[in-house]
Amino acid sequence: MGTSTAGRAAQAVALLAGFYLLALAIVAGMIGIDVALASWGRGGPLVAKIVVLTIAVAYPVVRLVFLTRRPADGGGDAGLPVTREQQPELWARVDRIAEQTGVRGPAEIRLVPVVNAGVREDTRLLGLLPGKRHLELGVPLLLGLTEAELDAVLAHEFGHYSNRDVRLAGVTVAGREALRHTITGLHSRAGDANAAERARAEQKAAQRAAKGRKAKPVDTRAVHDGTVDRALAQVFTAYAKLYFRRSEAVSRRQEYAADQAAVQVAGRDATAAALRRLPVLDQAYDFYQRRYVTLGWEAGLLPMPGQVYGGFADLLADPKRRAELAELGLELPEPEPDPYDSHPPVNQRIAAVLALPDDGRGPDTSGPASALLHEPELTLARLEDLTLVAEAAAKRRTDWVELVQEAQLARYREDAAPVFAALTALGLPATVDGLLDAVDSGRQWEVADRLPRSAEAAAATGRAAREFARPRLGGALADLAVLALAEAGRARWEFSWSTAAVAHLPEGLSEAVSAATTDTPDTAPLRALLAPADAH
Amino acid sequence: MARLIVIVPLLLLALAKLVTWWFKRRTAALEARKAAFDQAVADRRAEFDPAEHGLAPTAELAVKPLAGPEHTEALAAARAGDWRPAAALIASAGTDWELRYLLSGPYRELAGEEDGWLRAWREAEPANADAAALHADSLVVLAWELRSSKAAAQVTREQFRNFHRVLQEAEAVSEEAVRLADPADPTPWLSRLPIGMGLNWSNETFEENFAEITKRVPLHWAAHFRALQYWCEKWHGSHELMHRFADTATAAAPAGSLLTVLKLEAWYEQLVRQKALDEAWAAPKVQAALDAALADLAAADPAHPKLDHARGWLAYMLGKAGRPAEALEQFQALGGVVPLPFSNFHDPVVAFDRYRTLAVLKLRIAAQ
Repeated sequence: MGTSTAGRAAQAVALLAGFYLLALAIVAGMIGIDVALASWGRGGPLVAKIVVLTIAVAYPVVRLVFLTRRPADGGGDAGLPVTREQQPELWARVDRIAEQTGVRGPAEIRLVPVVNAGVREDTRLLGLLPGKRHLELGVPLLLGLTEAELDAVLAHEFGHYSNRDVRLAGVTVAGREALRHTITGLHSRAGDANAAERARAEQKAAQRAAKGRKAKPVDTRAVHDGTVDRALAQVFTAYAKLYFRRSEAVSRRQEYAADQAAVQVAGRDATAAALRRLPVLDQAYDFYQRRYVTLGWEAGLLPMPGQVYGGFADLLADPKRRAELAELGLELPEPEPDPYDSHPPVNQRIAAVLALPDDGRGPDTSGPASALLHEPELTLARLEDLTLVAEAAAKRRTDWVELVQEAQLARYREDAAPVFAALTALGLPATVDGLLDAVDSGRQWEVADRLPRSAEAAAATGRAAREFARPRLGGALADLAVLALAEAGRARWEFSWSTAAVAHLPEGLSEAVSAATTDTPDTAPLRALLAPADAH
Repeated sequence: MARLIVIVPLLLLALAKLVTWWFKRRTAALEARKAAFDQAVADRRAEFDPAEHGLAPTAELAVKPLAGPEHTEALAAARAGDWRPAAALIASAGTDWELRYLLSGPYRELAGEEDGWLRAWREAEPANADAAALHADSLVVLAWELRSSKAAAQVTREQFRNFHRVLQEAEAVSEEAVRLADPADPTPWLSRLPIGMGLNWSNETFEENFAEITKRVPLHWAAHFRALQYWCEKWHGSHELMHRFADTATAAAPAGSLLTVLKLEAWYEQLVRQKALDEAWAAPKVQAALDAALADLAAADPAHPKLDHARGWLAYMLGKAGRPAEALEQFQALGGVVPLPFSNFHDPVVAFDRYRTLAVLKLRIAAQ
């Protein structure tokens, strides 16, 4: 390390202070203009306009820099603290790695439901005085890494402490986050949040949804034309460039050094494997949350206790998914360049690790890291209690097989709601037989006209209007038919870890629906299909 | 630094003021010029008397209806559900296949909107080739009604799904129509041209289908104009392929066939697509196409059913090509009939009136 700790501390503090000073100066400058105008003592529309403009400049700065509470990134108290008594093996492993890395171990281990691990220290005096250390360990890592790979991840995190670079992390991260927040805030106010940021926000929204929080739509609405915000963003971006030029080289060097620590503890190949595995797990976990955990959310269902996080292990164990993920790992996607990321691209880190001489440890023969977890089901269930949103408590817990079944049924019921309403409004029985009777009595287009339709469909007349209505009618008929069949136990969806839910519907359903929606409709095939099985 | 912080916002303010001031000034100037121009046009309009230039009165201008008076009764009957008069009228063309196609035009359009009568006909005479061909054609009309004639980017997914679904149905019906038809009748093959265009047939498949028509009726007028659209850049061809198609067709056609109009349409498609400036419309190659079309027209039978169509394209293109005197002649010959390309414009009558007025004005300017 070229610079001394004190020197780097001073620099980090100065850069963070500089950020607030810049913001303060802008606001003070605006107030100064207003005060000068007031003392000038002349009114008029021009003066009023200047005052409005100074407020337009000062407001977003005050709002974003001083008034918004920034959520601590990855910090906080979410998660399940586990004691030495509860998780002796895990603690033993963590202590051993800390010792091998040559640093003081954590005072607390907290399990969290994210694909990440991190060690945090309650430092004081901007990181100059040491404090208690907390290890936050993502459960998906325990479920998705081997023991050796987990060792590498832990050693990397502790490695930061052996290099003494994390003490200052508090300040550096605070500064980085303050800048990121301000610049992206200004850009999104200006309505042109760049694609990367939007993607980030969408991902966050997806994660929120997956965790059961209501997904907020990504707000990229321009409040006004955004010129002021964009100009301010330019000013802060210029400062950010200066900031990162100063801190980037240092932080990247720190990452490489931490990787070296991981190699020494866990071995070269396990470290490289872990680095390669993390982004893959990240994607897989995201996929798992979207496609499995939240499948029945709208229908009021969640998987069995422990399975909300624990099912991830089953997904990873599925041979087909395994193969897909292995493929993903081989061709790591070029990551979206994030100018605010302190980590060098993972490809470069892997290359740096693999450039080291073979340490002769041979292939990774360690088992899954989940073996370290004592009473996994119970632990994961307790983690759910602490991390899921309040609404989750109201959900019914059910096994995956029923979950997929009920979720699909709920989807069909929701899709069929308009046709139920249309049939009722026309005084017809709100069942598939009711709709089939309507078809036979030539009233099907009346029903179709009451189903939601596009502007183009509404504007069409004559034969075109009927042609727009045909798929609507067919869809409604199919929805009602599937619901009726499911009630009779003759339509079901198969749960699978390998693919999306596979529908098992009677043969010839879509042909029967088509026959009932032609201009000379024939409802017999669909009626025959719906008839109870013993009538066949 | 502190000074900079005061200067930067002040500069921003000044810049913003300057920009708004400049935009306001520019907008005001533009609006004044537009108002003056509109006034000038209105003045000229008021003093323009079509009759003075041998043109039909503006009030008499109308798009030529697809159906002539001979169709009035049969169309009314079809609307009322009786297909027999229409069937008899179409069958009256005998083996004059082009005439047969021409006569069935109004019923293609009608069936695209309302097809109860056609379904009744198909049910009563399942083996009738005319009805089967009309059925396929009506589905093509319907498909385009569902798609709308907007550019692909403005067509919704729902519209495209319906478009493709109905075209696939049309394809199946057209195959049936081919089986039912007299082996010498090209009609069922014609509906397959727009089907191939909409369902993205390969150039080879499309050419094979087109050859089925030309081997039966080599100069089939409607088939050539339908096929030209396929070869446009906006569908499945290119400017080069489109011109090659038009050149091949006209080279084989005798004088008076009016197939030379294909070349005018081809230039129109290319120049509109290229957003070409006025000079491009007066390029030597365009002038040559116009000369060829004028010669073709001079040799044509005065009773040629597509005379107005040819005159419409000539009137439009001659005007654009800087030949107002010849354009005016075509406008005079057309009288109150508003044909293509004007009938495709947003307001056909207004467009037609404007272009003929423009021809007169250009002549007057040239004379001064």
